[in-house]
Amino acid sequence: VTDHEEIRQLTARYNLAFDTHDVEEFVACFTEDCTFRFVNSGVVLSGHADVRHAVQNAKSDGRHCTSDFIIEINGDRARQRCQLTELGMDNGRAVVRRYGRYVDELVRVDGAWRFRTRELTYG
Amino acid sequence: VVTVDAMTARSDIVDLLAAIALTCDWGTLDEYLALLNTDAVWEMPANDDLGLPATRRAGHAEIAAGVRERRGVGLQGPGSNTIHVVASSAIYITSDTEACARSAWMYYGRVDGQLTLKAAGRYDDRFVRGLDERWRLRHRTVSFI
Repeated sequence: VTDHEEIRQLTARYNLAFDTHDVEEFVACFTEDCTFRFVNSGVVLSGHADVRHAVQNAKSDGRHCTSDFIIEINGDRARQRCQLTELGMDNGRAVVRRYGRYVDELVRVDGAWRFRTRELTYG
Repeated sequence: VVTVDAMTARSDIVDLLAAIALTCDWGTLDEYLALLNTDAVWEMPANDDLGLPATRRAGHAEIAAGVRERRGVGLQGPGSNTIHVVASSAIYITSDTEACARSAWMYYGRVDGQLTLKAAGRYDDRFVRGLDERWRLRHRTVSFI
């Protein structure tokens, strides 16, 4: 239960860091050797430098919400699948901008879970 | 210094956040207020789309008055066909009696019969743990997207 909740908290902090443009908190969610693949576009980010550059240049005026977590723990490794709902404003009205699915591989580094790979597929 | 079990505390706060949303939508006023500290503060900026002015309510009596107003015009509560959904709560236990959380929220209702996302944003919350060992909301700042 502890590991599951720690991973859900990591995912919540990731969402919050992106939405509040907290670059260092965002980068800290990943291992140094991470990869982040956007399945629809084929874009792949590799390592902290890529992730930092991407988030520094990202538009962050929405809210990322994740739900329906399926988490499998295997020692210091874990796999997570969850749903993404991305909210924003359109002409003054709240809208669902995008939805999608994350498939994540995580590792425990110095007692803390980090994303080693993230794959995001938009619906 | 944190000596409480952080995982239990986080779990309790997740339950509290859900209970606040559920009682806001379906509960009685007393059930809702029981989840808030007696000195709780609830703040929200103006929202023209919903026709709501900027609001700051302090204490149970003022917060109850705000809930009655919003229920009175059908914006929330039983019979309004609206729901609040809270998600992605990042929770920080800062001491044995204090915690904070930042959560995304969504507010759904019907517009011309269609299910509609009517508003969304973030809650910035602070909580206190009472002598009865129950966590309660002490301060909520609502923001829209």
